[in-house]
Amino acid sequence: MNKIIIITFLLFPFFNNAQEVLLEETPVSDSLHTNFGQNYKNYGHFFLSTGFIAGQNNSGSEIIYGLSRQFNFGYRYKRRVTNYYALGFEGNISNSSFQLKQNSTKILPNDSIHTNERISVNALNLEFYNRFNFGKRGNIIGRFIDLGFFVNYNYKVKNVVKDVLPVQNLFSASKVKEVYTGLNYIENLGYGISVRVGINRYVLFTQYRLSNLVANNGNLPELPGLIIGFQIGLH
Amino acid sequence: MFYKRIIFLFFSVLFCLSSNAQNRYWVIFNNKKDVKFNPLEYFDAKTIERRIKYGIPLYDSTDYPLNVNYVQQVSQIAETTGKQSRWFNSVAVTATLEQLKNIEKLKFVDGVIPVFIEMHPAQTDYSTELSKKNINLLLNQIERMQGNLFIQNNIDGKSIRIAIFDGGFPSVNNNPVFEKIRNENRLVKTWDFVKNKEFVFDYNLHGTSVMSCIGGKTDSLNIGLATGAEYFLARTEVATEPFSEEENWLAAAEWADKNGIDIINSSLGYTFNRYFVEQMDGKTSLVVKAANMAASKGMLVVNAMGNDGTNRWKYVDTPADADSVLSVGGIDPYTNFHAEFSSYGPTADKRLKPNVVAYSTVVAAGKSSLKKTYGTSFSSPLVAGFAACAWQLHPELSNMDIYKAICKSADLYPYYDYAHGYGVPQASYFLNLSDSVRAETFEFEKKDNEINISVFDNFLNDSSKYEDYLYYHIEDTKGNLRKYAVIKVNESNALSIPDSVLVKNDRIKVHYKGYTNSLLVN
Repeated sequence: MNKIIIITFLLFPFFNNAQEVLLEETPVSDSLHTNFGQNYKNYGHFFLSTGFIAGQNNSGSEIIYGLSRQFNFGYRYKRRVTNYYALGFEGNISNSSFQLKQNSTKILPNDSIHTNERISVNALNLEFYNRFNFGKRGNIIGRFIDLGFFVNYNYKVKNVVKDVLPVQNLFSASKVKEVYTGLNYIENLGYGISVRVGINRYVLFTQYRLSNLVANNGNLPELPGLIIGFQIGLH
Repeated sequence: MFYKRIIFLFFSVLFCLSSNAQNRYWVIFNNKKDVKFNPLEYFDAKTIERRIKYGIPLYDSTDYPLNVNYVQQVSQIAETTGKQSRWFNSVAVTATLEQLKNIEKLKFVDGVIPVFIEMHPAQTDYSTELSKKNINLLLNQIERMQGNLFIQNNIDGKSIRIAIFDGGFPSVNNNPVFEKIRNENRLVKTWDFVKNKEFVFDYNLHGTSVMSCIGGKTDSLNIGLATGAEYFLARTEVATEPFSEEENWLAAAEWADKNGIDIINSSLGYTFNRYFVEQMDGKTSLVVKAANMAASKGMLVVNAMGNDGTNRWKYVDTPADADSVLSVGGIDPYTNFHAEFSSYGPTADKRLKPNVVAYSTVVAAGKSSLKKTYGTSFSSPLVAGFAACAWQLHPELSNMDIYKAICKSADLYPYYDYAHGYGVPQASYFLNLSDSVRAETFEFEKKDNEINISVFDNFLNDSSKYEDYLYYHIEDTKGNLRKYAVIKVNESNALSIPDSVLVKNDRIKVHYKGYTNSLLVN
């Protein structure tokens, strides 16, 4: 019965004999009680993040800090357990770019020296996390720390090299860009842990990959697994 | 080294975040034993006069001071002690959890509650210079309340004491808009409850603009109506320490009571940062309890509804949710109905809010010039100034009598809805100039499957002061509105309500051009 009334109310303007409706409110359908909201039982939002790859460099696979970065876009769901604790999960898509130093010790993926070179990893990530909130608050995200565990699938990896040629080649080109895909020295799957601290939509995060990114059957050195960055919640 | 620096930065932020945790509390005492209280020494003469006049006891235990020994013992344990509240027999402290446990063990301590109110002036922005268009706006913000009737009758809030709680009052001490008030020594007292000093003429400009809408005046034009009132300015808003503002508001209210204040204007609202919308029930927040207590002491508390009408929050803020607070929403001067940003009622427990409305786009005092500005922050002081004039005319009325009379004076009364309350207060009501009987402007007509509302042709597109707006609502048997609307009438057959949307014993109430009538659905 209520549904019928509400639907009829929605159609109500059509019965107003072509008069101009300036304001129309139906408080009965504007329930003050809800389960969805930043500090209600359920909440979800999209987010964007960017981070710097910051882990310890290994000889042979040294990266250039500052230029080696990760970008993420994802959706995060939170289920409130108490005012101070929540559980949640998120799915995100990421691109990590490892800018490789071109020095004499380099062996990943080989010892060739280029003008610049990067290994790019596109991944799908799934994370489960615990959220601990601080301080009294109303219907806002507030201040929090998240502790999470993630798994990922690297669905697209590539090695991009760029060279500036001393003389133009046969095609009259002075710069050459080569992209290698199907890199068998990069693992498909991975996992790790993450920590986030935030105030409302502003979040600092760090994540650490516990698994190898570089397959260890070829004696190639590992790439750094620590990422530190900034995230913004789209809410 | 780069990544080590980033890690250091990350954990520094983490440390700051956690070290900023809640540690401020109200310690509530369970008695006021052995305290001495002489109301003749404590209260201003004006307060004493008001209390005798309205039968409010002079010897009320809520006005007694706190037991000094109790405060001393608490201060020996806590890190710091802050404001004291006679009304709530409590003292604010900063304490660690361990210190708090020790405080709770004291025999005279009834309990502790965290301090957790954050305030935001309900403002948007200040803009544009005063132009001819804005001069018209300035004239209309007064005339929409028939304020010129007060002005013509030399009613200017004389001898009414008004306290303004806000974030600062820069230039009030030298702005020509307040020259008359200063020259006549009616800027009586100021107190900065944030810094515990007298000087308040700095900080947030919001309070200056608000004050101008109560009693500001240029050479020839009123900005507000209470140009003859006495003013008490309290700075209660803190930008950097949100947790101490609860103490400040409460302390300012007690200060106001002590100084014989008649009207408090609080253009401040507290919403989602500390509360849920279902807590806007007039009894949950501490500040709403303080506002109700202020009303019980004989003061009229006028508060802005808030500017969340288009936000997710949407509804009334606190303390505008208090049943004893005159809550003021905003109308748009250019459309003459609800300003879209003005927060809606009802309260979470379904009481009517706002009570009344006024312009929410106004001309107000900036730091050095008049400016057009927006927000229900400025509707509230317009009504506070109006209330001062009404009270000057009818000093025999109590604060709650004035509250009710202002509602009754409003131009939609007895019609109401959750966007406009009873409408805009009208001065003619207080000067006994309003029409006692309003001409019928429409009629109901029951048909087979619908109810028609037809306006009379002679009122359609007439040249009266009224807009061609028809207000209607459908209320259930408890008086709660299930629907309300405003429509612009273009033809005499104004509205048809099908029976299918009505429930037995619903009441349809309609207001059109000063006339209100209702129909009970059988």
